[in-house]
Amino acid sequence: MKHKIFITFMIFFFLLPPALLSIYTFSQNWPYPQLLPTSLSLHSFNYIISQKYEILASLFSSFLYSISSVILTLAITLLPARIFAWRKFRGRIILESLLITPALLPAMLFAMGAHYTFLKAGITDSFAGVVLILTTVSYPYMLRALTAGFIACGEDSAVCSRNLGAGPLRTFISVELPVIFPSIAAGGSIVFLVSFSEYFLVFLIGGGIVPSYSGYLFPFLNSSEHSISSLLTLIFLVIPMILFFSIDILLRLYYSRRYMV
Amino acid sequence: MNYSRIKILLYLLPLLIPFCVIFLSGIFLAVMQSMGIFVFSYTYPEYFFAYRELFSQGWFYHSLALTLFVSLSSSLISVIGGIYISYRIWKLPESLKKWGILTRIPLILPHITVGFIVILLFSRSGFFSSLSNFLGLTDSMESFPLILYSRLGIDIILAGIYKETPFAVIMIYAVLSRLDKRLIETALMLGAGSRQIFIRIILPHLVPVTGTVFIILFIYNIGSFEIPYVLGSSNPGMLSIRIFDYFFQKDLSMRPFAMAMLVVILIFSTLFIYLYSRLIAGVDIRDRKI
Repeated sequence: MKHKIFITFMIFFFLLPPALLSIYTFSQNWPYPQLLPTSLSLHSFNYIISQKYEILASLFSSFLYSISSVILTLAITLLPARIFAWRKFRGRIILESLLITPALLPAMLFAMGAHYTFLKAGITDSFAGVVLILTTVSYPYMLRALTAGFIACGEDSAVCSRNLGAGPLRTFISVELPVIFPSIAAGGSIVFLVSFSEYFLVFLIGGGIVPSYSGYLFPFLNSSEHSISSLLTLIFLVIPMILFFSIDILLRLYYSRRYMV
Repeated sequence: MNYSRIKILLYLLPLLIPFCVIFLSGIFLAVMQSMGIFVFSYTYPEYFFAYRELFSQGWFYHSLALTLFVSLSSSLISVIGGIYISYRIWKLPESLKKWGILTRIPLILPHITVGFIVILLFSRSGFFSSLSNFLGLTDSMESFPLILYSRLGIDIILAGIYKETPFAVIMIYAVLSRLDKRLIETALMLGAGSRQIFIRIILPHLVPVTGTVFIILFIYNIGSFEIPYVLGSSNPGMLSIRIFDYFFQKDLSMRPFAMAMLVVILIFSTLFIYLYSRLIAGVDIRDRKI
């Protein structure tokens, strides 16, 4: 009984907002003292269909810079994560915690200064600039995930493969990669989520020139068009979920093919 | 295999370059620009003029106080909620534990949309206002308490709690699930009640992680921008909103004021990290004694 009350509380607390968004999506009229809309319509869907090119373009742009950030964070953290996991050297702990700080400190603190650097380098208002700033805030998540992955898989099999005559690249592709792939997926999911839902940094560095879904959505949130904003918000919720589910399924397929057959 | 220092440095280089060129230099430039250096082609008579000007303004202190109050409240409530929810999930029978997945929902919602959800729920014409009217607690829109645009930033706190409690749950639950169950069994055998177990065994076990989570949330909240921006409360307004205004809306020559406020946030963040590291050091020593 006690558990049931707790679960009801959890459902109410965590599920009420998405549920409310779903109801608002279909509402045409929802005057004040009513607990449910007085009339329903597909107005919000019609609007979104009429704006589909602009919405798809902003979604595509957001998706592209988020995926690029995932790839870039992976590229820059792969070697350092191996070092942090497998080597002991003086100052390792301090260095590791220092390198995590971009995710801990408010992004505003360095992003406004970095805006000046980017301006001088001529990469403000550009796709590359957006990817660089998003990579800087989100690489700590990838670093943490990969370091944990490398610690868990250990160095022994890599050393063994090297002793058997495989080169570093071959060792990485056939020995290390299969083991740390789940860590890459975990770190990559967080990096993607952080980049995809970011509004401020994309606005600051992209300057409104680089289209983004968060930038497209923002003006609606302050408007009285609650049904359209609700539907757009639900899309924001659904896309990462689809992505995570497909990664999960892919991982399972990959491992069942590789090891179960 | 022993790597030389140079080789280690070489391997770390792909990370050290963006860390220094974008992150550290970004902070450095903020500090410099706050003193009127590197502000495009503008020159200023002295270094601390922006700080002097800010510290003589009433609104600055109001904004700073509001920022600290909002950050403190939302991190504190999120952490307490996080302890409570993780404890209850931990006590659920295995078959019901899957409900814990519900706590992940706010993690996927972007900050700006959480602000929007607070508007839908808590505005005077919103869902909770209608609900309280239905329950007979209020009889008109005006009798529902003003939560949006309140001077105390209650709307920002509520949005923060919804967004941050799940983070606290994940971190705290991870530590809680590593707790040795035999401790609980022994306590039960010795006749401890569940309240005593919670206070004497579980809470002390959670102190370090709770401190970490609190400090992470607190620092994040001091500089959080997106939620207050969507909620649009104006007076006195969070510091981050003021910074944004000075950065984008005002003349380029006003840039040092935005940067000086950033430096104030930076100082507070560093101060709290330092305090926290002292606190943790104290806890560790006590742990070692036991």
